[in-house]
Amino acid sequence: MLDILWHRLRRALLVILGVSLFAFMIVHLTGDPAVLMLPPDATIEQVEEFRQAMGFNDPLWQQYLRWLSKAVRGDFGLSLRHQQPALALIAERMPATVELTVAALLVALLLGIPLGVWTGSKGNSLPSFLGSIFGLLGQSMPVFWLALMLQLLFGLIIPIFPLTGRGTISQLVMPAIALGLYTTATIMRLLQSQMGEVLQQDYIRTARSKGLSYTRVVFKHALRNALLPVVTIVGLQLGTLLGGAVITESIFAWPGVGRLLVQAINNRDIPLVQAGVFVLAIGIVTINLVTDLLYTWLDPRIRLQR
Amino acid sequence: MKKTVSLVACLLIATLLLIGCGGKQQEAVLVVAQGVDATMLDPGMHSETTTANVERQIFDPLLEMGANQEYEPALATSWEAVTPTTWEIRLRQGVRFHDGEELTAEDVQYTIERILDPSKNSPQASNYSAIASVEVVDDYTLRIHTKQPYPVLPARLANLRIVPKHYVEEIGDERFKREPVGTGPYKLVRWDKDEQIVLEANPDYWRGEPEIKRVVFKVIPEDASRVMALQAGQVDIAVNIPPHQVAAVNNSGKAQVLEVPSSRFLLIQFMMDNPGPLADRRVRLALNLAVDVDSIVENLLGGNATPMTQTLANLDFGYNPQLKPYGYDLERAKALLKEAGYADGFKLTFAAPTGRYMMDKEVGEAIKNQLEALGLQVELKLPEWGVYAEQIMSRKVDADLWLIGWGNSLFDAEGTLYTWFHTGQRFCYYHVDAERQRVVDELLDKARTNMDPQEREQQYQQALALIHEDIPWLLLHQQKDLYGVSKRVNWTPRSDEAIILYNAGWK
Repeated sequence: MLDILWHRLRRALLVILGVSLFAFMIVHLTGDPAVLMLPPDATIEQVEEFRQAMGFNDPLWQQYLRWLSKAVRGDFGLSLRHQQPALALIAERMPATVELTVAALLVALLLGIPLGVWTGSKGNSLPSFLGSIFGLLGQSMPVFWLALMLQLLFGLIIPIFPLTGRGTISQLVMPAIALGLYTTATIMRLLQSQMGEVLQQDYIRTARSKGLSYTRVVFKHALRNALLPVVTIVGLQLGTLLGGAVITESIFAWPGVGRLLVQAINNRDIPLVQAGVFVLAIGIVTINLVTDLLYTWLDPRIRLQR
Repeated sequence: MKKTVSLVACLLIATLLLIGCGGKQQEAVLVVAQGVDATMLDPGMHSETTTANVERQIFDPLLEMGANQEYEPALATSWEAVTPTTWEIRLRQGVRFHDGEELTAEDVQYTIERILDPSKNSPQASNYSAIASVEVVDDYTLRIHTKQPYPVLPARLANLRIVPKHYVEEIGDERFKREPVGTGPYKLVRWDKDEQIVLEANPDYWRGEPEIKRVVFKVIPEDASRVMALQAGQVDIAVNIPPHQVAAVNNSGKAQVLEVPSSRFLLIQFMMDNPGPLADRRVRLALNLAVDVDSIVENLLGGNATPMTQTLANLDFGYNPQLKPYGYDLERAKALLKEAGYADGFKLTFAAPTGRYMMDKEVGEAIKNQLEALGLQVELKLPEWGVYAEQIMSRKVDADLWLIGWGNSLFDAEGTLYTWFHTGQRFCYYHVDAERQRVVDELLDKARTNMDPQEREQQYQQALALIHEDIPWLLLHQQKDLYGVSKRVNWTPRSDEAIILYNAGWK
């Protein structure tokens, strides 16, 4: 087990380094923060002076190494726009993003698992058909459209929830649903087909023939086995949710990391982009690591294959 | 089992409904919605309109632009050029910062020197580079010495908001960005990053306590969400209403759209320095004649713009009322092209930004079609703003024509003409014969340091007329800014995109 952990950790570190280098290069190659920051009537000399002062004139690899050597000591530099420590700006907005991600995941689990079990245990019937439709819709509705429709319906026409902002639970409902619906549909579809498969197995028939009730068989015997792939999907989806919150955050004016990052990219605020990418990469890599380990622990067959 | 499930479901729905109905509203709080949050609340260290709109409630400038583009006293009671390079400024007495300290000339000196300090890297430093030194005469008098005669100093001072020296030195630049103290009509209560900034009225404000006691600046990035919040009555002032949403806001019964002419205009630069068709004045005129600006304004912008008549906005000092737009005349345009030897047209590339100005992409596409009707083969490029801005500012635009918006915070020809038409400047693509260029340079140089307003205005008008003859731009339109304003609020939008709230009130 420790062996696997060590192996995975080394790989995770490489991934994080690679991501930060990649982000650094892309942001640098597509725009110059100096010209975006100074007033448009600044002269060429003034732009040049500013660039020199900020160190933008050094070769890219030097700038990257300078960044890296500070970053490993926890110093991510000042955001160019905010003139404040980049990591602190990210850290400040992290709770909002985590809150939204967790809420969306809860929506997905609380809706997706019961729906999947219900529709999957009914064979070829109306619930199963309706479930398939819901799954298809949930996965194909673009999040920006869904978010705006939710706002229009439950914020404006039937004003149940506040349109934007964060702070109360009622403000969390619409963003969580908008963000979580895709994952809900994914979990539901997966579970539906898994349940269908598992319920055909011999041991289920054996359990039924012992005289156990159908409900008991479904929840006790079938669900446990059908849930296994769901763990993987949840792990993968958590990463998607964390990074995919950008659109949801913008539409619902949710003060999270995604929105800050999009603005930072627009302004070519390099230190801030770097800090954000770094933190998100660590988050996603950690989630994947935990999922992997959890899976190995849940399914002894995988452990044995090593 | 089934019962449990339905019970849980019922409970869930009931809770959601209860939560939903919980919020109480309609206290006397004015909510302003902008697209992005302020980056800091230090007036000297940023150069952003949205940020300025928040901090200008907390700080006061020395003077303020009133209606009719005239300067009115604010923290300064008088300002006067005692010699061509020395301005004497008298301060209002008895003005206090939010912490109780009195405003003195030293604070003003500190404010300017702090921006000019190279170690602080203020993006505003270039705005004040004409200042040589600031001298404190007594507590309420100071002298600003400029490197040359500098007639637009009052315009600069109208954008200079004064910070308290004692306080900034005490808590440091870092904390000052988050814990501002000024002399302004409002004080900071709290700042939830990327969400809201809450301000409360300053009861000891030197103009008297503002009528609106509590103001919240909310961040709502998405246009559609901002409009919905306005329709739902959750927002009182919303910026940048998209033209196609105007009717929806006006029909909501809660709010209406107010429009105000902006000093920002759109132009298309001809790359005159490349040899080729665009070096020929007849071709440049033909392109102007082929683009129907009236139709673009009417059909794409819903009438929320006015066609440009010259290379300067009509709100700016130096504007020449004699000049007229080139007009729309496709037949004449075709004849001109033929005369210039391009009867079969030619190929050109045209670049325009996406998502930066009102309907910019659509405007770009319409112009491409209209130029194609003239017989040209047009390749349209629509880069993302960050990429585009860098190309333009570093003079590496890869196109024969490119579209850009230009706003001039000075409201003075200096800010536009010198930057775009004086030889050697960053945006100068104006290339005509050497003699004409020399005359224009000379006019702009003279006007730049001329302390006689009347003569100065004439110099700019003369330069504008010459530039107009040379046709360096494809003239487009001057924008109108659209604000959604709730019906319970009395507030007037301004041409300089500033949101000023001390004189706003409830209906």
